[in-house]
Amino acid sequence: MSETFAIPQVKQVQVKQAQPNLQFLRVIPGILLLAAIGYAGKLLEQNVGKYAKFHHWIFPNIEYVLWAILLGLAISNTVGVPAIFRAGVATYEFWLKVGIVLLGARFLLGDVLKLGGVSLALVAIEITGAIAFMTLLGRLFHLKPKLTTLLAVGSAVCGVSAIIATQGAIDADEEDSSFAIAAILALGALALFTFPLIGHALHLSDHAYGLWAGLAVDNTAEASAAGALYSDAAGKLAVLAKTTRNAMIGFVVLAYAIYWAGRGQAKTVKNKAAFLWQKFPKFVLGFLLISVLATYHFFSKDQVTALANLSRWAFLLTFAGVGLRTNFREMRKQGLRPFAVGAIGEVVIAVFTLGLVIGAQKIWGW
Amino acid sequence: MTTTDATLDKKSEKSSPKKISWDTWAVLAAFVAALLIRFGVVKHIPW
Repeated sequence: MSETFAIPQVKQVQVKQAQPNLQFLRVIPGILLLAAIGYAGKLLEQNVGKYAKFHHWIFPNIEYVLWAILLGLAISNTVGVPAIFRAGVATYEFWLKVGIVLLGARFLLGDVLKLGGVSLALVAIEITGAIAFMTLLGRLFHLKPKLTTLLAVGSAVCGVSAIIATQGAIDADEEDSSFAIAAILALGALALFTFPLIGHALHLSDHAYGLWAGLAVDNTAEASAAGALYSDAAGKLAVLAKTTRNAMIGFVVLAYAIYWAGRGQAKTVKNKAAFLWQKFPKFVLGFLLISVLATYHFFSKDQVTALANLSRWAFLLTFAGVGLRTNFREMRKQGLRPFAVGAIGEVVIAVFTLGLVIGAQKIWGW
Repeated sequence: MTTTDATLDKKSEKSSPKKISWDTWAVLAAFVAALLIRFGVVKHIPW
């Protein structure tokens, strides 16, 4: 059962999408599972610390984010996720986007423009550097050119969805897409555990760490989780930086589509504006709109608090889903070379973006 | 952005251009929730 969860799961959901009426019912068990795991994570955060303190044990304070991910990982990698829950578990990305849009209420427009402007500059440097490096690495390891393109887009822009969007645009093989997705997901899972440790070891501020997580971790769910594992403030900034990166997806995919069409290996893009709109993540607009409304006091202070709490609940379901959909056995099956290229690339990008953030930190004095 | 949503979006692109993507549904759901809170239908969300 566990073997089906990383990539084949997507195919199952696609089939279910064809029956919208039934799909609504099919997602309920999985959503309840996400909620149960997320809530269990929250209870563990509250009670394990108290229990350890009561018994005079030295036990680190583990946040609900990590508990939810660990519980999900434990289920996914032991008993597996039963079929009845899979369609609902796959909605964790829907909750992620709901959470991001609602998070907009916690950002005033001025902050978004200021932080987004800094993020945008750093994102532009990160994307350029990451694509150049991954392309070079793919050539060194003799990967297929389109697989190299998928890995480059996945690590430079926004993980799995960028890979899927690019796969369609450049007519890449499904197999290449699966390789690239597996590499990005595996490395995202590793980042969840390594990034907070590195951040604490380097005594990064919440601001610097959040930006770094948003710039270096590829998949939005993992980037949000890696940020939230550090602190609430870091989580907010990680989402903002990652959202800025996501906004670039259309441009990068369009550039690659034109490149491969020029080589006669992909369809020509006829309407570039329509292509950009189609690929543009709409939740970025939702996030900005909520931020504008909050800035102009459309919501009272209590209402902003309620929206922020609702955003946390949505993220809670997301973090449970991150653990549940990560299956290490399935990832291992995808092969070593693309993973090695991805891993080397990710380490270099992580170091590169860390340097960028530390440099920016010195300039802006966060 | 993420796996399932992008895949579902891709599927919907192929099957029907007018179908609303999951991305857009997420935005709509968030706005409905925000409006319910704004107009006092939902007064308090605990954490």
